[in-house]
Amino acid sequence: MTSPAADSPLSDSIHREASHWVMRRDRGLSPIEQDELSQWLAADPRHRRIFAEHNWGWEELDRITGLQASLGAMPDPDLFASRRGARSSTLRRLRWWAPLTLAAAAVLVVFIQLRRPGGGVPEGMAAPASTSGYVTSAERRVLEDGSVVELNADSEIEVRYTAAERQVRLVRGEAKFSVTRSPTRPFIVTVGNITVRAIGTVFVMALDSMTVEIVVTEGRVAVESTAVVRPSAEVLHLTAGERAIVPRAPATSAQVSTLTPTHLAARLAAFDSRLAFQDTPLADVVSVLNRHNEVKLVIGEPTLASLRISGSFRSTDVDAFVRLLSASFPEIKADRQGTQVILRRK
Amino acid sequence: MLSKDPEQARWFAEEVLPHEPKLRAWLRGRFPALNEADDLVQEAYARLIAARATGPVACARAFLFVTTRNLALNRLRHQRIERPEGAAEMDVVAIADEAAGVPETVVQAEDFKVLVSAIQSLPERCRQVITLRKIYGLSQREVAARLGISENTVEVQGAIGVRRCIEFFRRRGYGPKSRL
Repeated sequence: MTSPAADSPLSDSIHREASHWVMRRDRGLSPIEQDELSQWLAADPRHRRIFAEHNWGWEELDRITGLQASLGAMPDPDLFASRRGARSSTLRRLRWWAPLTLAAAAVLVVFIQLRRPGGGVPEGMAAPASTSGYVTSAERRVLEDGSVVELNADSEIEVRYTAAERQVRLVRGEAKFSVTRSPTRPFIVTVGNITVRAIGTVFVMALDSMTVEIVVTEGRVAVESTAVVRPSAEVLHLTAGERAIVPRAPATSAQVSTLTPTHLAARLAAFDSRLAFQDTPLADVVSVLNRHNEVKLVIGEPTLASLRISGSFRSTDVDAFVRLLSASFPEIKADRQGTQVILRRK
Repeated sequence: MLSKDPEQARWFAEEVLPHEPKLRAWLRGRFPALNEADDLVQEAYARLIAARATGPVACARAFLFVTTRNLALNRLRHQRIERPEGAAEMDVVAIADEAAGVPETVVQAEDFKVLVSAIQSLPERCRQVITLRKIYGLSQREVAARLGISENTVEVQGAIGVRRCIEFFRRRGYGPKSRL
């Protein structure tokens, strides 16, 4: 949208239709017109894009609503009539308007987690992995608009797409959504009485019986809690790197903090690929894990290298792997030294 | 209000929330058939917050009233409810009211230069339509009555206005802003 050359000429029929749709939508669409608009938008990707630009432009003008309202009670249609040849040539390019920048990413990632009541979840882990190393891999589903949902183990979503909205309800578990951007068809995730509306690009969300946790990894989201009374203005905007704990009860307020890139990565690790090994030499497992992690495993005893390993675990969860290893092979001793974990025989 | 930003929370509490009682009263008076005042007000708040997140807003009160009115009209039409006489009247008094928003208006007038310039660049009829619709928040029907033209003409002129404004914005590299 930055350069006019990227689009067809403004005079062409798509622009005319787009601007007319913006006007019709502004004065209100009948159900039939609503269907017609949906069909028109779906007919050609350019329709959607150009409509979005026109709609943006029309709404942008709302910023100056009431700009002169205090000057007099009578609306003056010629308020902005040019005087004494003061035409557009006199307009300066205003330096404080930055050149248009499109949102860099075309996707939005939502991550939602229903935490176990009372259990509490360690930072960066979706579920305690200590008891069993055999965990189901995250399920990946591509929705009709190209958005991708990654569901963690024991998770469930309901997808309800209409022409106007893309609605997803998290029933249980945790999920991460990579949402295809569509300004005219908002992507809305609901968890209980909490609604997360994708405005920009990427975010993460988690929930237990008392709270919803939302972590934005890219872009921004609007979080709304439709609590019992539905108090005014319960809209919380979060941007990349921010994490909010939103209570499900209306009484308390949300806590917002900023995550470091490391914490952010850890938080997202729940959806990292899981590594599955079948009768694989420990040396190979170690080298694969080391590629994924800052904490490096070191085989301190050469005879351990050929030990055969079977199982699956999160690629970024070294600790869980070490626990699993120690539990399965009592003869192995693991010593943590800074960012190294040295594996030896007892 | 859920807000991480103390400034935003302050702004919302001081410049937006105080308008709610009057906004609701106005809504009830003008749109008695609509029983979704909560939804409309929430949606208007959401739009106002989103607009303010990406740039200045001249008058929060006017933005709220006009946005809520437009949402209400839209809903009426969608539900095929006949608009009662005068339902859409957006009296300027309701918008302007007291001292609300005046400091912002004065201080930030410069910030809207691109928008104002875009309107100034329009042909006369177009400019009048856009001015009445956007600056004074008149509905399509009200603009038609005031300028003595048909509603359809208002719609057509409005569409031309949008296209020309987009063209104007593009030439100046003015586009959707992101907080990224």
